[in-house]
Amino acid sequence: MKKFLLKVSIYAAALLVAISLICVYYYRKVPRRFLLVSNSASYNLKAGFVQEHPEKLDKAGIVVVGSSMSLNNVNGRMLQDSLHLRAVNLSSWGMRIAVYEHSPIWNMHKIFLSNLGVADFGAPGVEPEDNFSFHTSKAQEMFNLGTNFSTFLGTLEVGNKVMSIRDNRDYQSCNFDETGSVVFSDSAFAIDSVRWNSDEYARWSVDSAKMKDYVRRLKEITSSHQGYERIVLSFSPVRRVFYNKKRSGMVAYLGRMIRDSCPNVAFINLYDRDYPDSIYVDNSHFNSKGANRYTRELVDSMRILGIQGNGE
Amino acid sequence: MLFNSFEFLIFLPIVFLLYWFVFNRSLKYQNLLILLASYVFYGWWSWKFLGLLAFSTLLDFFYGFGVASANKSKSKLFLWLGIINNLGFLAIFKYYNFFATEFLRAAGSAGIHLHPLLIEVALPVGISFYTFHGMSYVIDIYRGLRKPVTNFIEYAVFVCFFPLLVAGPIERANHLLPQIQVIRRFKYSQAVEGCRLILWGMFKKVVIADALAGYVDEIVGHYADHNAYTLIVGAICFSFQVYCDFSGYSDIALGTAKLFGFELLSNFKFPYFSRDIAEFWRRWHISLSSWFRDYLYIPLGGSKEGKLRAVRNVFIVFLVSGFWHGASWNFVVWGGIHACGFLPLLLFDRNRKHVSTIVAEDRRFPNIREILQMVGTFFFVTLAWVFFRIHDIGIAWDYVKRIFVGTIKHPAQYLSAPPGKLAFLYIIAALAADWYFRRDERVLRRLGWLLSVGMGVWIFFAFKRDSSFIYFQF
Repeated sequence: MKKFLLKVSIYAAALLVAISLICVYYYRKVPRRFLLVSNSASYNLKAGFVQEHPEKLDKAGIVVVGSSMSLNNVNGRMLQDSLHLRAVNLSSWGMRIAVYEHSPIWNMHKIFLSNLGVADFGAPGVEPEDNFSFHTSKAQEMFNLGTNFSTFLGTLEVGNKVMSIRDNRDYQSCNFDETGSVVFSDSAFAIDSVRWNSDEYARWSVDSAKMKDYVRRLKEITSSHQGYERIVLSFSPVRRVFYNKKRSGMVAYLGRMIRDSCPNVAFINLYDRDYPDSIYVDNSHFNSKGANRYTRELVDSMRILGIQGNGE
Repeated sequence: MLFNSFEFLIFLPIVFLLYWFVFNRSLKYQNLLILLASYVFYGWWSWKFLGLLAFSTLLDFFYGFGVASANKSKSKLFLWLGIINNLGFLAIFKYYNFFATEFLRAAGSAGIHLHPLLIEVALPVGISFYTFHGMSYVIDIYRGLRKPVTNFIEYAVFVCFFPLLVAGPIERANHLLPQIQVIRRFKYSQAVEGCRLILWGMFKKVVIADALAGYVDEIVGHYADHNAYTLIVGAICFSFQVYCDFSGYSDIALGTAKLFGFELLSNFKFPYFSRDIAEFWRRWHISLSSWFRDYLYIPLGGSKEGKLRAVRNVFIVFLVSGFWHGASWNFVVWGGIHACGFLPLLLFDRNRKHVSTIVAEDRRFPNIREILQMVGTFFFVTLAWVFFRIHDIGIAWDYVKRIFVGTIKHPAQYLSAPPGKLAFLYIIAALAADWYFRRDERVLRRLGWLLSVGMGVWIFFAFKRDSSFIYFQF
């Protein structure tokens, strides 16, 4: 038995050393602003961004949360300058309300803005490893790295790629501006040809069950968190070819449900805006011209709601 | 608890150390610990079904005494009670919803609208395995092959020994119970062999099967978008996925049992080196196919009562075996395809041609004839796997049809390199290892330190938290 235990112990030790060496080697290759907290490069980079600039979240008057509809379609810098409120954008691709509904951020005394789109009523593309925490310890990170290495390698590859892009021309750019938003280039180079005429997107329907589920989660947030100042939801338009009356009716229905059941939540419906194709990079994401135009409209609506800072 | 989980990584060493250092004084203590550990192992998945497991064990234990009675009619009564009881559990938990839904559909098509009560509970993991343990036990007593066990703990360990509880191998009372009834002594060589088997099983599951699963899911999920070449690759990938997944599980089970001083029945003997379907079924899921042979095929008359009866019996066994895998018609079709493949061998008395030897047993490589036989068998089995993987028979049929129609229409597609080249590397690695070990699955020779550590590292980094074993659903 002693011989067996000795052999097993030596094997375990050798394994541990080999695994540790590999983990440390790869960990050192991780971009600086990159935390291993989920399966998503975008989310991990955002977590790194927040941890590197904790004051941005602390001092922010308005916090943008949500999916790429919030990350790319809202120009955080413009929002901040126009409303005279410090803004921080915590959004990342594929983030759905299910991912952040239990987040402690709702207890912060801030205004929350979430810009929605049709895709927000689908499955999340983000799976946080440790409950939506941006304050991951090194030990937790190493655990996440070691126990989900294949996901990590994929994220690392994308992360390194997007961090190396400086002018936001790449469709999947993750170079945040000072607020954490990513605004796409106006160049035709930025257009995603696959998504531009996506049949799949044309088929996507926003069914009432998904909307009810969204409202249920929102209601849960508003009833269990009293700390937040106000929640503002907006709904993004789509390219003309994808616009249809049925979806428009569904968005209006969503607005009614929110107004009826979620106090202190404002709904700004901009889905019916008829923007030219030249301000889109795909079926529903804007380029910088589009993001600016959309954010301007959003700001106007928010001012009507009385949302404006004093410039501090 | 899954074998490929962190919980098991903690659980196994704790139970091992307790077993050999604290509970090693007597047989009673050893068995008690195994029983407790097995219930913890099972309860980790769902403690609610522990009651069902205990109840099923208790009933079969008592039926054993009734079956052993000198009174023939009483013995027969308890035998049938045992069979009905075990099949009843299966019927309720595994097949009730299926039959209720099918009945509803049939009634609906006749214009009658019913609302049958459906059971809203998950299928208890391992129910197909532990009920078969119980049945074989009472049948063996009835046949006079063994006497009933008088110690309940020993019998309970036989039914729910944790390495084999959830996905087999399906053990026989005459093989496992004698091992349970004697105190186990630690054997260094057995324990080392067990560790090697666990490592190899984990490698097959975590590295090969899980990697191939990605290809299979993508190809099967969007099969209409792929050409015939890719569909063939998808089917081949699934053949190796299901093999590495299940044989990996069996290796871990066998290896874990060895750590506790037990030798379990072998479940796989290099099935993809089979030269015909009959040989394939002597090498694939051996514990199940031999169970059906001994408890269904032979009682039905086997091949001793004429060709027609033999054909009927073969079909019954394959269809029932298919249905055992799941309450869905696609499994029945899968069983039927194998029965059709077996039929010519039975009719021409060639089903026992390759009984005892593995291909090229005394040579390094097979000859051309053997290669052709193995490739032919593999492709037949692979096409049948399509019906196993895809639950909708219409879609499965369409998948197979697209392979043939696509090949005839666009033969030039095969001139290019196959899609999913990395998948083939995994498959070649699995085949090469199998070929090297093919004379005895359980003897993993010369798994050196460097290779062992390399495999361990690979397993660690390839590990996916949400991956389960295919056979857990059965």
